Amino acid sequence: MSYVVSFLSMAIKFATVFLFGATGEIINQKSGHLNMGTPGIMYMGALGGILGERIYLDSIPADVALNPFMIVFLPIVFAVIFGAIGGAIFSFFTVTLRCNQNVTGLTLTTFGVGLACFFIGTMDTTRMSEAGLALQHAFPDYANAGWFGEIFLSQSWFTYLGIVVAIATAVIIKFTRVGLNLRAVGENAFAADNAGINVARYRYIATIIGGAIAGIGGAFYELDNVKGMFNVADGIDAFGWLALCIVIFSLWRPMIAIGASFLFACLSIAPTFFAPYLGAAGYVTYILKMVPYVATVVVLIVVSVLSKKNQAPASLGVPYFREDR
Amino acid sequence: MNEKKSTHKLSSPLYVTKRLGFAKWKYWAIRAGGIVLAFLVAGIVCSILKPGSFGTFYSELIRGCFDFTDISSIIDLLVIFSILLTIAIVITPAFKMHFWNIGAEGQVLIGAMTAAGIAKFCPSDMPNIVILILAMVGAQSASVIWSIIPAFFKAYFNTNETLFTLMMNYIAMIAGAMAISIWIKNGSQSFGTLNQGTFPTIFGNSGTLVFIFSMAIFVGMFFYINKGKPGYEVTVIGESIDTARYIGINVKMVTIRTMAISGLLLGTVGFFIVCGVHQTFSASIVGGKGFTGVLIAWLGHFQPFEIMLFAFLAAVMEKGTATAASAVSISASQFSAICTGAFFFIIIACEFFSRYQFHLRHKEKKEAEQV
Repeated sequence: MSYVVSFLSMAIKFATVFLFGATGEIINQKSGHLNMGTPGIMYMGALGGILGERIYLDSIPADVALNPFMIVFLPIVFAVIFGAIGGAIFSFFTVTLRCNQNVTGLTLTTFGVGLACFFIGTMDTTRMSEAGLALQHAFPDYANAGWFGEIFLSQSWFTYLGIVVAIATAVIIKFTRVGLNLRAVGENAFAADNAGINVARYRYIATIIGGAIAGIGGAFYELDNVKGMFNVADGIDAFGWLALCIVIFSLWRPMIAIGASFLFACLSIAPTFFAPYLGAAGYVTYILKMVPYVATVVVLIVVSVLSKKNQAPASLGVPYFREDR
Repeated sequence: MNEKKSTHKLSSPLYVTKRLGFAKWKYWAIRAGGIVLAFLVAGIVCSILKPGSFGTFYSELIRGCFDFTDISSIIDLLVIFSILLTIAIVITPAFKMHFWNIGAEGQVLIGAMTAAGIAKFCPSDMPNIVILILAMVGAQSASVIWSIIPAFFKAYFNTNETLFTLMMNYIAMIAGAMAISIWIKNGSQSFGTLNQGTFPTIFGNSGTLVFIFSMAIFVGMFFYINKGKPGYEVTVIGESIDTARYIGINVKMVTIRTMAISGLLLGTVGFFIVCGVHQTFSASIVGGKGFTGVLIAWLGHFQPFEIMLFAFLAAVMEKGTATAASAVSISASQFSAICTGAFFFIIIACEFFSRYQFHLRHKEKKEAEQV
């Protein structure tokens, strides 16, 4: 029982990283931007988060207890700023400089991963692990609520924020004028422009907001899971690609992305949980690791074979220049 | 309906137009400027990180790439160049028909994995040349299969090939790690060095032959793209699928054939990397060159000689900045990644400025008033 509880609790924590990345990428893709820079942006957000934590830790005397609000707030602010910068770079190149989205995305990933790894490697880690432990639980008394508390109330503020952001994104995309306009831009930018929607502005803002959200995911992973033992090979870029998978897997719907993130998180942590029992059959862990990607491919195929609905936004990856008409 | 008025600002201060009749030399001047700027930025970043290292950076960069007293080091550069070049030129036909194959990384890796497996487990009394041929054929077949899968679904169901090939990269990487864990029983997760099935050493470097063969592939691809029917068909499909269909091109067949050929050659690159360059295998042995190849192909406008130029510059950027970074003792691989990223960003920006120009609106108004 306790084994299952700790597995589920761990999976929810891990799902947070994916959920932020996927929500950010959904907003990107709804505007027609296939942002393959998301892994780079998540890494930049991670750098921002660590920087924010560092600034807070440097600002207080060494013997003062950590403020539970500040250790969450400041990293989020910086992760948002760094992620937004990543999104701004992407949209500057694709919208203003009219560059190909795939090329820009891949360059941004190379650049962002290199940049973040470089500076994360040089970061001072004093008190970082203490801060990492301190931000782990939003409600310190979660254990009083039994297994329910262990699973659902033991998470950090990041997790609850992630769920709120995903739900808010779903509501905005589905029920508001802004969301309708955003979908119009992603489906048919020419028609949207004719209807008086400023395509460039929507794509800029969507990409910047999406980048900011994805950045929080990277920061959460570094601060909570890694707890200051920064290593250049933390592999946040792999989570970025998995976030892209989740976007496809959840058919561009943030509400489904919540469940899909949880599912992918289960698959991601399962190898570490089951490894002691596998013995010689250690390769099974790799098969588990492969499942998310294969599942995404299957979804991609099934969607393209079966239905005309549930597809990617029609203008996904298509640049929009007025003069090209 | 409370229709909101359009929020367009028709009088934004800047607007963009396409350049018409832009002289070729000006275009190349802008690009050359961009290349110089990229190397300048790398040096400036380096001297910010390590004050006073500006001069050392460039002397080390040049020493890392063009030290003619050390043939083997030159060949190392040529090997990076030829692998980037081969990947970029091989994926070009698919891009020309607007098939966004960003799965080169995985397609090379699957070839590399197969080559490594064959070279390792061939009986040791087999002649080296037979092992090499087996490894090459195995690598090519694996990579062809890997490339045909997304092509098939694109051709018959119009499945999004960008996302499909992207996922295939990661499946390939995990498959590579899994292969090592199955082959190497001691749990070290390290493949070790190949004892057989390796390229002979020429000029003290087993990569020499990789360079020579890559040049042969380049020549072949040049003719494939520019002369002959397959290249023509690919170009027509890229311009308009309907036109291609009307003139009797079997679009499905050409899609699959193009990807099969690119898979064949990418598998060969994987074979080169394992048996020629590194003589070992790991899941990250391709090291992002598949992605860089995509960028090079696009920046080279799918023109073989432009691709060659950018492959060379990217190789100099990669090897030179890594040498320089380790000389001034900053983390080499990440610094090199930052510089490569900045390099491509700057070239992309140059692309824009050579195709479009900015105008200031108020200036034009005044001109109009004067007229």
